[in-house]
Amino acid sequence: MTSLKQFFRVCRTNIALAFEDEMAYKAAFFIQTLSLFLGDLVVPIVSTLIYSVSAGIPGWSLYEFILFQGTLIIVIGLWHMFFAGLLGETINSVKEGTFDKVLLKPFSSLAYVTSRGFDLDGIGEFLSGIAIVVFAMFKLKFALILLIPYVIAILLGALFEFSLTVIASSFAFIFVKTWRLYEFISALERFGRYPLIIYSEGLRFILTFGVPVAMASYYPASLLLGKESLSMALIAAIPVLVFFGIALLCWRYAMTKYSSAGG
Amino acid sequence: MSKFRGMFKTAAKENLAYKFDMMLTVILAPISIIIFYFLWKAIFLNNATGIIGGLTFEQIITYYVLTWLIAILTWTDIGDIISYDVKNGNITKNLILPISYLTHCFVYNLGSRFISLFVEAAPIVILSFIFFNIQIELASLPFFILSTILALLLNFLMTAVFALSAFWMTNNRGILKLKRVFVHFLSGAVLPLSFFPLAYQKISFYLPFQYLEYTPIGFWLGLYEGNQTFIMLGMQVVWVIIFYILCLLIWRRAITKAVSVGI
Repeated sequence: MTSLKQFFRVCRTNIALAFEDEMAYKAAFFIQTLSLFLGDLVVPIVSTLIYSVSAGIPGWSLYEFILFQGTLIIVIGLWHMFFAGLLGETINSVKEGTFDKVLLKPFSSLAYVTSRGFDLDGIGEFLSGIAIVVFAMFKLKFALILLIPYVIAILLGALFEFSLTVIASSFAFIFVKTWRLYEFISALERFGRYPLIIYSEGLRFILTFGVPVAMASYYPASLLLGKESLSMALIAAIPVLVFFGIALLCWRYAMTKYSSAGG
Repeated sequence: MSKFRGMFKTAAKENLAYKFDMMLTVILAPISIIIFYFLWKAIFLNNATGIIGGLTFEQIITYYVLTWLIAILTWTDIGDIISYDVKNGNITKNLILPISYLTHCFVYNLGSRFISLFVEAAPIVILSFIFFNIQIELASLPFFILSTILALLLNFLMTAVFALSAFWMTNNRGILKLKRVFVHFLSGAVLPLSFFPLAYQKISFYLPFQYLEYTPIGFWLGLYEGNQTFIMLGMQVVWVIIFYILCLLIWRRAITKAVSVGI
């Protein structure tokens, strides 16, 4: 229990450090956050343009689709803030030989490296996602109580994104230079950018039960809008947890493979 | 001239070392195209007419493949290079080269694009011809090539203008990112300009953005006829000249700034 408490203290310190780091260049941080915020606002504009010349995606009205996209931006923002730095931290510390130090800490290596990767840049995306979702909510009708499973599903979506990063980082131990794995992750995420309805039956199944990208956007938004039932979402949560388990196993395997640069 | 040839060769060789990294694009691009294919298939099925925003389904897929092609052929990392060189003081080393810093960067860029043409662009186009049935207007191919070269020049100069802000700011990542998102959107790289409101379509003729993406694509699709061909190419040349002058002016001021802080 004390070690958990200690770990949270380390997390707090790491987050505070990240803050201090960014605050050294306040203007730059402000512009960076503002640009990420504004950059994501292009997303609903694009959807509005598509819906202005067509009937859009079957079964999804314009505002429903904007809610869907805002949800995805929230998930990506959360991932960017808390989890995305893991890959960079891993690659750099393995390259520089400082990973050995991590292994000496009295915490789980994964949790520790993740906490060091905290990145304030995600705040702009996160806020932009919230703004888009709130905007869409004003135009839509939904049961308020559904906000609870909505938020839980969003957290599960972020867990899925985290799992992907853990897997990519595990590979980083085996092939040190793997920056482009990031692009593989983002290519997979692209499948989550649109409602499942556009895909074929087989693909829908894979995106829910194989690589559960659908949890990052489709399931939270569909739950809130009543397009998917709670029981279906519960079933869809299982593959996310299994995926997370696999990611943890990958990390553990990578740890056994890790042989220091000898520094 | 031999100086340029030497630099071009070095850049090409350097990039050849990353050929496997580049080939990843050949896997990633089709994933994006497949998702886009599903998306538009669903939208077209949901629509009463076979034409959306003035384009047929085949044309819109061709359009999307071409946005990839143009993005690869006109790609530049001048933004990151300038920011990095200014921050680390490398810029002083480059100032003593027998040719101007920006020319040096451009020749380097050209070398890397030459390799990409074969490693990234060609396979994507061939795959798209086989699997996505993309269309081409052969008669306008020479204009497409000319227009793409002008777009590369324009993209390089425009990015350089924004990147030179590094001389005045400690961290210009935000500005570069914002520029990327908005220019990307306004150039027609996300959606064809025919999806935009009429007012923007009219104004865009006088703005530099569409000459980065929409115009070269327009040539491939055979959208321009007779005089229009030369008007569009002429506009591209005009914008290249404007940004060239802008770049020189800012560069001159930037250099005095660099000297004044003593690096």
